[in-house]
Amino acid sequence: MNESAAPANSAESTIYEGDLLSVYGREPLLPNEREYKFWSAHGTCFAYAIATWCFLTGGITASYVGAFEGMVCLIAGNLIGVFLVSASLSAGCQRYGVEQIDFCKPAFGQNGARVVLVFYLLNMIGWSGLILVMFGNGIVNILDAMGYTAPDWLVGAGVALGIWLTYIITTRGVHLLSLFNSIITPALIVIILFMFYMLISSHGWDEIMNAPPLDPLDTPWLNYAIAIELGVASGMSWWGGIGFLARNTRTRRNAIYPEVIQLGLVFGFVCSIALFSGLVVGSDDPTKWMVPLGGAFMGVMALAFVALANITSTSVSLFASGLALRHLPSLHRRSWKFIILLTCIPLVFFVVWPNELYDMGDAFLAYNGTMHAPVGGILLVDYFFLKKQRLHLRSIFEAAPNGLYYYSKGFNILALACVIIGQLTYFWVYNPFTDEAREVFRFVPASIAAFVVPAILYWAGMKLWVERSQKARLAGLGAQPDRLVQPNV
Amino acid sequence: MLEQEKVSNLVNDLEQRIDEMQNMDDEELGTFGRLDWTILILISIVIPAFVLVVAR
Repeated sequence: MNESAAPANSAESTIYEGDLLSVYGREPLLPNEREYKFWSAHGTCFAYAIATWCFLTGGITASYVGAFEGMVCLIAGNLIGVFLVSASLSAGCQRYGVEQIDFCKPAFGQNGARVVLVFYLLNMIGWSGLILVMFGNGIVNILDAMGYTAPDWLVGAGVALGIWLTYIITTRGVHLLSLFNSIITPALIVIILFMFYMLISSHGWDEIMNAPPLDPLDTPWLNYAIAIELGVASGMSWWGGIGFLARNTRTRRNAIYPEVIQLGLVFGFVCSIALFSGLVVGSDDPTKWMVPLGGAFMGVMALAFVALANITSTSVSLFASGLALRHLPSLHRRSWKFIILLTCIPLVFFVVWPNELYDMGDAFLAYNGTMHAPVGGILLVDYFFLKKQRLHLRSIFEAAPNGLYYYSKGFNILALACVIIGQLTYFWVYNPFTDEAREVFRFVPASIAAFVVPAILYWAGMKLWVERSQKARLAGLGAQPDRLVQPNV
Repeated sequence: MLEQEKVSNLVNDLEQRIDEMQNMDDEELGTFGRLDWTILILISIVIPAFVLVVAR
């Protein structure tokens, strides 16, 4: 949002080092400061959803199942995963205008939320690095297909170009991001439909539907179960961006419906294009398969798609990461450009070692899957069933021990323990590194188990133990003042 | 403006925002009723789960 759109009839937004600390910081965002209405919410969710991570997910699914089963698993699984993690986040962040890590404080505690922050930043920046490498690889693929020999350093240069473009967009604020997405989204829709048409017209629907999976495991049910897991885990992996998107929407409907439709349904559909291409062309990367189908023009189209899609998605990720970095006391009041520059520093590793880090992507994705589910389960139970959708906003910004969400030395040990239990549950049901699975995996995806088990334990633990000890703690401290004692901004 | 003054302004602004958001009626942030939850649960959980079981 630009400065002229600052609130006029309510709290005046503080400008610090030239930045509005509501929009570029963690202050609760008032409804009249929020950028996203119906179309812009859908456009931003769409632009965020569509990136080469769709192709990565669809490509992996092609190893296990055929086109029909894969499409069902990707679309249905994504819808389930997105809804489970976004229901509480979008409802809470939109209602109170708070940033995502702040929303974690009622469950995890003032300092416990910082543990989530570490994981959050690893997730957001890791994903951004991976898709920027895919952008760099796209440039090399197109040059190769056109008969040029691309030097090795070109992938890293592509990553550097992506970081620079992202930095420019992100430092200009949510308004420019929204404007950029409103231009990009129609272009992305046209390119996606065109890619789909090219694939169908070249190979035919029957060939796609009858294509066997590329590298299935010996146990048939396991292939299907892994494909469902890929769908659900992909849906849950949107956890990182949901709070940012919801916080910037003016109505609750604009917060949650675009997330479910764009991040769940549309994402699943685009993953399916990659699944189809993986099955019939042998590659999920459009910069590889578009050139043989239609020559250099198609290659340029594919590259334009990869560039636009990845830059918009990385911009949303880095914006949300920048807001999250504001939780570090030394960065509370630093300039927005400085914060975004900091988020770009880890990405430099992807410039220097693009393919080495990209090759670690599978392990990174698998680890992410084990973290989103338990955190999502805990937040859902905490917001809807324990806090009954009523947060004490002042306590979120109160670092003193008298805050409601201080718990024990700033940590809700129960919530952190439940995250670990959730991770162990995930690995017990299914080990994504070795593809070993228990019988229960046939009926329940590991992400769902890792969502439900910690959620139930957290609910029981809060009722039986933490809520009682909280009452005793707060009674000992006396009445909470109606002003912040130790504001954490 | 002195650093201390800036921080003080920031905290005052934060206090105002907290009060405003805390006391705001839910309806001011858009209606969202049982019908919305029913639709969302249907399209995001019930139908996808049913389709996954049938496709198996």
